[in-house]
Amino acid sequence: MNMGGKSDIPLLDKNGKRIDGRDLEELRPVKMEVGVLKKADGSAYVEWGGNKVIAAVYGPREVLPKHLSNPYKAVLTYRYNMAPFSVDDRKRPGPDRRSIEISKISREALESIVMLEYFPNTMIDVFVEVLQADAGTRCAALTAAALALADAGIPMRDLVAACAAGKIEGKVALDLKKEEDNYGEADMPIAISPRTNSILLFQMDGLMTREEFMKALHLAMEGAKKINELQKKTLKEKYKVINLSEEGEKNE
Amino acid sequence: MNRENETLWTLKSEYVHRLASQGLRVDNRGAFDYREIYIEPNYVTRSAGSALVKLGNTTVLAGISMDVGQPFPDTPNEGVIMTGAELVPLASPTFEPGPPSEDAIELARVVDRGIRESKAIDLEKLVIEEGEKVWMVFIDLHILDYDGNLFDASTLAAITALLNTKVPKYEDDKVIRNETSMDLPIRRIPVETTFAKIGNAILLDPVLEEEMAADARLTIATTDDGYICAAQKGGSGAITAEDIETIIDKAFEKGDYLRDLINKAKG
Amino acid sequence: MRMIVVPGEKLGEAKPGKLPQWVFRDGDSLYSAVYGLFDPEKGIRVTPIHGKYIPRPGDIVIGIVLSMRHSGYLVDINSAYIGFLHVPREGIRLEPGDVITAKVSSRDEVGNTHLESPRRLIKGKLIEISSTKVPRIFGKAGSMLDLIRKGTGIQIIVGRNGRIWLRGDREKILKAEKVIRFIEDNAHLYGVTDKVKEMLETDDKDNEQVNEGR
Repeated sequence: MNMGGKSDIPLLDKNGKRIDGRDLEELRPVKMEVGVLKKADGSAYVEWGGNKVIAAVYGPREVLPKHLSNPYKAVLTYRYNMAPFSVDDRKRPGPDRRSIEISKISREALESIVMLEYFPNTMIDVFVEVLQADAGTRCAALTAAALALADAGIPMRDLVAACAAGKIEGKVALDLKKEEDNYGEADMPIAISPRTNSILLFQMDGLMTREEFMKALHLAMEGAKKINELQKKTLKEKYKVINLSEEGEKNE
Repeated sequence: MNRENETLWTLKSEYVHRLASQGLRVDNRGAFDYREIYIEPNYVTRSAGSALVKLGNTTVLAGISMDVGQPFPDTPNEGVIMTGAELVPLASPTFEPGPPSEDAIELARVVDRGIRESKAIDLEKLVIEEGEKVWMVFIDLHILDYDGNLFDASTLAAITALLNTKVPKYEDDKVIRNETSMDLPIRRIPVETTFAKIGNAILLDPVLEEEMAADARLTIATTDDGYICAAQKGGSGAITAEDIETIIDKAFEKGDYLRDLINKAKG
Repeated sequence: MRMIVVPGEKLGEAKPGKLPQWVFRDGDSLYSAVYGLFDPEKGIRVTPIHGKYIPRPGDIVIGIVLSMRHSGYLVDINSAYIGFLHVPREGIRLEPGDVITAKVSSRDEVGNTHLESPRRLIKGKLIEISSTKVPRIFGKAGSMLDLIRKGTGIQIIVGRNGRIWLRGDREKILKAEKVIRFIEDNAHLYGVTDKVKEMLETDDKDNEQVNEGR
């Protein structure tokens, strides 16, 4: 969200480094974990810069209310929600217009990737809670949601990965943090299917020339691919296939 | 939508796809042609500003209301913009009464972004007392007839209405509505151009059948001085970076076409 | 060599013939649709690590009766799909809460699942594991289940839907449960059978551990 006001501190120093020391095309540090909740069918936790988000998937399960069911495929729901304490100025609990919009476009991003035809007449619910926000929450949320869906055993054509790019002090930059988003000139969150490079979520706000726009798009896509590598690594390392008897021998 | 309608829409959707694969459209337009556009500023005269726009059969009435209030805490020296959209039931068999649906919310927010991010309104000129009192510009979109592409029609209506808005007088802590102090200060003219992806075809200004059949849509907001100020992909399908590149070019071209129409219609 | 695959990961080149479950085709390649186990030496097949049970005709499941309908009962089978058990008037009388085994007779394209051959299960303990791990509980030609039965001496009925019925001595039931949970948690590893043999042979006293978190 662009406030448009001026920042007291420059967003880029004389060496071209950002306020957190990053280069223009550098991602913030990201940590991911899967299977973090007991009750959910699938879950994931993502820390991305100062963002902390947790995603849970319930399903496939019975559709309620019944009139929403589809006899040919599962119904996917997505609820993005911010905890009141996730932002500096307390956010009133409950869905606000921004959360509703984010929920809609995030669901749309997943709908063509999740193989809903496997489960006619059921519902797959995705819930993401933002516990701490530092710009790029919808990207962190969708990234966590994809992991949670995988963890739940939901069949998908790919692991959706998201990332944002933007513009600060006239320069296109990857993965804006809060101050950069507030005082920068543009923000562009995207989500892709890394296997096919198709774009599933795409927004932009700010002021960009055509060249800056396309540069940011490609930068964000590359960022999303890096995020995808970490998603795959997280999933594969959780269930490292080893030999139990060898393990035993090593410990002896 | 009930089951019968769904079957009907599936058949129409297949028809639209078939046409699109042959480079054709349901109403014989070219891929990047707009439907006939009618713009009438000052459609209602009671409000501070208004405009009616017809894009083919899609009809949107934008009304501007002005009031005095507190600025946002992080922008104490700027006026406030608020955009709302109502998909009222009379506009379509698919619109139901009740609180705004996610479609209404998305529409309002995307139109809002086009106007806000382009800094179309000079908000600094709307300050009465810094940090305390500023003018608040309420943009309300009333959808009267839904036949596809609410984004472009609504933005056209909104910006036309804003161009014809008169700021009331503010005296002795009161808003005096029948007297004007100034024209609403407008710096840029943003427009939105929406494209639907149907199979491999990209079509500008989707009519309702095309919107329903589309795999995805992309709305691009451009300014008169060569900037993109907002973009929104919608729908459950996917688009490619190449699609976006094609669309950006057309967005500027058709954006200028729309701005031309706005200038001609100025009240 | 068993490996973990993720959704969208390539498994191999497309071949003619029916696609195995959880595998999809895009262009000339085959991909995994799920987060699961893949062994290239065993062919193009993926076993999901997690997943809700999807009823298949022929499966024996353990269900919990939900309610009566005229001509039958609605049965919860630990799935997104409710099972319907058609019972003639003179047939078995069941009540909500009854635990039964039944066979899945059919499942149509919209998910309506029909059950037959009900048998009420009385006394004993019902536990649930992830349905994707059931094949490991059975083992090759039922060998693992045999091992557990012989090692504990209790009655064990395993439903394909992840529900397991244990009946017998209380201590032995706990032992069986521990072994079953161990298999569930370590299903993706090699050497599980040997560890299970160890667990069953060890005396209960030596094996006492604080039961963490289930």
